[in-house]
Amino acid sequence: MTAGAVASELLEVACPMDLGWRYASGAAMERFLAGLRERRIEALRCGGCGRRYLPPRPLCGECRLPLDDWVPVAAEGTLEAWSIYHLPILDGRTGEPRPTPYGIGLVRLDGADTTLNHLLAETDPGRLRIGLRVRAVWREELRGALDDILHFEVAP
Amino acid sequence: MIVAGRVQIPFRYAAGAAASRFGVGLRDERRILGARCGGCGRVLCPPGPFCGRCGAAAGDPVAVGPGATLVAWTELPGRGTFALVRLDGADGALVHRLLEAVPEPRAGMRLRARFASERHGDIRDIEGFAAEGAGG
Repeated sequence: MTAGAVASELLEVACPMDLGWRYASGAAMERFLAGLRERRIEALRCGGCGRRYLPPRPLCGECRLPLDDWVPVAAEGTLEAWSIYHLPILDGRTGEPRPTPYGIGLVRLDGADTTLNHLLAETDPGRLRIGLRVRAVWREELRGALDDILHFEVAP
Repeated sequence: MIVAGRVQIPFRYAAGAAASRFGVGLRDERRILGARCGGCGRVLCPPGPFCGRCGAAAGDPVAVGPGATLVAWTELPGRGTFALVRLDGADGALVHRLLEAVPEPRAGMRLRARFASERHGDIRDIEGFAAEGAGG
């Protein structure tokens, strides 16, 4: 501190930032999202290696072949990895910090060969384990968006 | 299909001692405070903890403005006009908003700070600068 420079009060400056974005989903994602509106989950199967991609992508990461063979996938699957978050990161779906704790998991749905990164209803680490069976919980009013699946819950 | 999203990033930062004194002056007294450099005697505004030119610690607070001189400006379409203004009694200039009451800016013209009616202790407590004698 310098001579005569003691501040009577220390301030914090609030600078909230408003960030918006828009992106083109691409043809594969567009079909996938339209399916969600009817509770239909579809993966894209590679004609070369047979790998079934979910979420769908236009090209196979292994064979570089274009993908156009849609195959049905169940709304239930296996938990491949999970984590419980205690940091309220920003939720792009609501624009607000997400209340903690919440669970994130990699879910391999029956009929897919890749995993889907999604929210988990269960937040107790004692009740989560790799290999657990989980199922999708759907939004009441479907609108053809990624969050038509609200989260995954432990299958009974 | 277009996918849209939006987030609010709740950013706050500690102003530090020098900018806090500046903010309290704006908020409580509608006074613009600079700080005289203990080394070279320049009056810094907005004040920092040390002088950017000679590196000495900033010293005593000095009231500057609210009268000011326009140094330079630029128009941002849809966002208004932003200006470098030199406050009376300060060395160097600060960036702020030119209010609509300045229809034809020119370098060297006299301006006056207009304070916001609601003030929270930061640079936005000055609403902007208007031509001297323009009222407000």
